[in-house]
Amino acid sequence: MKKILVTDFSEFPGPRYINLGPDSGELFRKTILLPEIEANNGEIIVVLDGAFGYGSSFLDEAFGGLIRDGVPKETVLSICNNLISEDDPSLKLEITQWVKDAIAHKES
Amino acid sequence: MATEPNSGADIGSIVGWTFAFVGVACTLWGWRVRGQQQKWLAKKKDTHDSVDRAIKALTEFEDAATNFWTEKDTKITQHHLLALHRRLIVACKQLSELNDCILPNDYLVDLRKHATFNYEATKRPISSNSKRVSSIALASGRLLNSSFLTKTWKTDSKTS
Repeated sequence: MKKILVTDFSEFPGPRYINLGPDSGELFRKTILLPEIEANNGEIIVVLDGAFGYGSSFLDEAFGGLIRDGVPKETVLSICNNLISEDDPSLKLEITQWVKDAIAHKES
Repeated sequence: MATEPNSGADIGSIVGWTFAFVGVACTLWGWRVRGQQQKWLAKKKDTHDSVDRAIKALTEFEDAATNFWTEKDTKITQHHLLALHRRLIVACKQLSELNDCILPNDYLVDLRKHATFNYEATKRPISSNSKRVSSIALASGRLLNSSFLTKTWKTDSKTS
């Protein structure tokens, strides 16, 4: 599995959308997550440790946005299971909640 | 007949040594018990100090989040909120380690969501009666009242 460090993208993850500021969740999804998912057939491990902190909108846009972009839910849920977040274990739970919300919204 | 006085002396000697051994054993046992009690008390003090630190971190986060959302000229920034949430996580992790209990991730997630969701794009200030401000206070209160942040003298405390 390919390991992706968020700190390689930014140590200061930013807002939700690209037009709201640097290092946004949208930018992370479009330039890092989606290409890596495609290149590695969804088998990636995202390491959240080391960054300054994450706003909820960044997390929703980066990971919940995968569902809205059409990535299969099994792939995204597998990415959630493989998240590494020892600095802040609550991030894993929040990201999974955003992904499940996006799945529920898409299926409703 | 000549052995009788010696026999009395032997019995006395045996009794004396027995008392001596029992005395030493009781002393060693007492030291051990006292050592265990001191260790337990030190651990409890560390745990209670950690509870105090976690409560302080939680109240600072709640106050800053409320100020961020409701004050027109607030000096609290988005980075402040993230830094304070991180301090809260560190304090809770320390407490979790000492207490051998599970982190209250649900409450920590709720706090971050209510304080930071769309904070870069939402117009501020908002009313102090708004749903967001109430939700921050509610999430904070739930964590504050949880068994995770309750000081206890019980020997074994587990929280979920």
